[in-house]
Amino acid sequence: MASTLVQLLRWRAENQPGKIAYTFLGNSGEDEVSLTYQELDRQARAIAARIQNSAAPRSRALLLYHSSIDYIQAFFGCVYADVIAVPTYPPRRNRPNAAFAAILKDSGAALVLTSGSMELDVSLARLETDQISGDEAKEWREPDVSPDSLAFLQYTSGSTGDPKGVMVSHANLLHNERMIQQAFGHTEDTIVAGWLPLFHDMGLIGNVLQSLYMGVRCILMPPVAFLQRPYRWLQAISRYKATTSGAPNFAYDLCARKVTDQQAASLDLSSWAVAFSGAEPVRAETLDLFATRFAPYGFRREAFYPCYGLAEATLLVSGGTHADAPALRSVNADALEQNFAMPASGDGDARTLVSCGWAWDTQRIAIVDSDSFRRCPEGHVGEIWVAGPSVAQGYWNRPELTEQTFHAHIQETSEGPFLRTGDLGFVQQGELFVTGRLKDMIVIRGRNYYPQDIERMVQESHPALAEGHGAAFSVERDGEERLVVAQEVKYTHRRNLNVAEVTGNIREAVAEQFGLDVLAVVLLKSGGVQRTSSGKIQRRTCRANFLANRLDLFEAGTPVHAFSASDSVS
Amino acid sequence: MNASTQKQIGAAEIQDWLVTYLSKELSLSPDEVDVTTPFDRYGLSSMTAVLMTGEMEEWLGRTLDPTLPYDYPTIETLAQHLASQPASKKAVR
Repeated sequence: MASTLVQLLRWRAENQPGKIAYTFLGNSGEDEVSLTYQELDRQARAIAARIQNSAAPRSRALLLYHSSIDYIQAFFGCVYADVIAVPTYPPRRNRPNAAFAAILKDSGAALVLTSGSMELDVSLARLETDQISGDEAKEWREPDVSPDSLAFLQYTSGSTGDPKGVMVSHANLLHNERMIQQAFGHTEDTIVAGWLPLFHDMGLIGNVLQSLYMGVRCILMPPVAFLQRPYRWLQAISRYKATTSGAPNFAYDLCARKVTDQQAASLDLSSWAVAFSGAEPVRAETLDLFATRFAPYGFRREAFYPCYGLAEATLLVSGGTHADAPALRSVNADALEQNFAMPASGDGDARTLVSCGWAWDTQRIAIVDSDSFRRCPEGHVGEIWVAGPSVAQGYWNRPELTEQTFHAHIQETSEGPFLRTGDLGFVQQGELFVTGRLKDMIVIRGRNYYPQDIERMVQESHPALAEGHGAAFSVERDGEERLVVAQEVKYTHRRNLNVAEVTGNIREAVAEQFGLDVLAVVLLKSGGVQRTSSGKIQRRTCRANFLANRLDLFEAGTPVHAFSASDSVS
Repeated sequence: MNASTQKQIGAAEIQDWLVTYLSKELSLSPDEVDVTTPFDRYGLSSMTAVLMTGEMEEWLGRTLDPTLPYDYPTIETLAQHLASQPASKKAVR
């Protein structure tokens, strides 16, 4: 059994040389380009030979590519040279973006691997890997790679000023691939298809490396091909009879809304056995919408596979039984605010949660009180902690943060080390339910409020308020945590807005639903709420901007909060 | 009919299509959509912008670069660009 990616690809190239490893579809979803294991191995050796000429083992190499076969070859070129690959966000047009510079600096990269078409203005050595001839493969010298060697750094999406590179070893990867195989029920008959970005853990580990691990075919298309016409994703599954294909929740939603009847009529989705959904909360409404929309075209609800994972745990942490339909649980919303999962009863608000299954193989999950570090009883919400061979080696060059995040121990038993995920959830009858993020949690008078719940209620309070474009957070005033709501006004309602009516509605809704008074309601212009590239609300950035009076106000010059910023810093 | 007249007709039709599309997407009446206002100002997400190029492909019957709205960030400039491309002579029905 292979213990490094080098051994794994070498083995496949030797034993299944002519088998197609990857098929790439172009931006239009057509134009396929395929690569066998032998071809991939040869090009990776040629690239590695060049890298070996200019960089020492274990130095870092940035990968700057559009989603393409070049990227996969360059990734394995790094692996074959024992140089740590650092995938970066694909550039818009042909230029790197701001995150690129931050990652470049943090990783201390020795060189940049890219393609000939990319414009790049850095002082580093640059290697255009698409210009390297496979004939150079014979120059390659096999490096001494051990399972503990780092294969790549996965930079997590966060603010660009504070990049964190997760150190993923060969052993981490192979363990996670084994877990994915077990959890997803993969066999040699599996066919993987997808459009997920390759610079990101879900696309790289879930699609590219899992296929290599299994020795099965993988069909890939650029993310933009999917976004331009969501139908292309389903079309690829149908055409190639893919069995495993997944994406975050929003993609299923988009398909249900955008695929036309005429397009759907040409689909046969009956081969689709594992439709994994991860990386953002899995919504029960979306599962229903998608399953109903595509059932006539062979989609089976049991194919849905909600799962939970994060880069710090390599990728997958938990998932259920691949053959079963997702398990839903309706819980009492009030009890959940008090960190306790209780079945919803006739009266009171209910919240439907989707089970993310359980840990596989030797991985373990613990639910822990984030203050006392004691284990939470069954059904109580706490921070999700993870232990096992998939937990990564820490953050690159961040020993203190690594210690805090990756080496936590449970109070009573000193059991550990655990990875603190920063996510909240509970376990009931062995199933994990993820309920939110620890850091954004609003705690007022000893009671927890999920900002997303408040935001939703705010947005429903007036038609002028943009759905998904608000941030609820708390600030301290006079020794007390108080609620602030920052909310974008829809562009379409920018004229003749009755500000008093809108703020009145917001205050009323929050008071009625949560029993909270709002210290400040801040109405913002369209685009005024900061979000990450993947669309997540950046509540902490919003909060900092609020305190510094830097928000893009709907009505410039109007006093928005009844106290000055200095009051709040006690 | 000379080439430049043809170009203008194409641009006008494409412009109308974009106005209709945006007014539907943003729940505005078509006369509220300004052809010189950048897409970003309307709060159009990058995802919606890419989706828009996909629906235009369908309408024009030819493939379009999904990043077009970044390079031609208003209805007016995008319509002019598309109309000035050789392939557009036949594509606009």
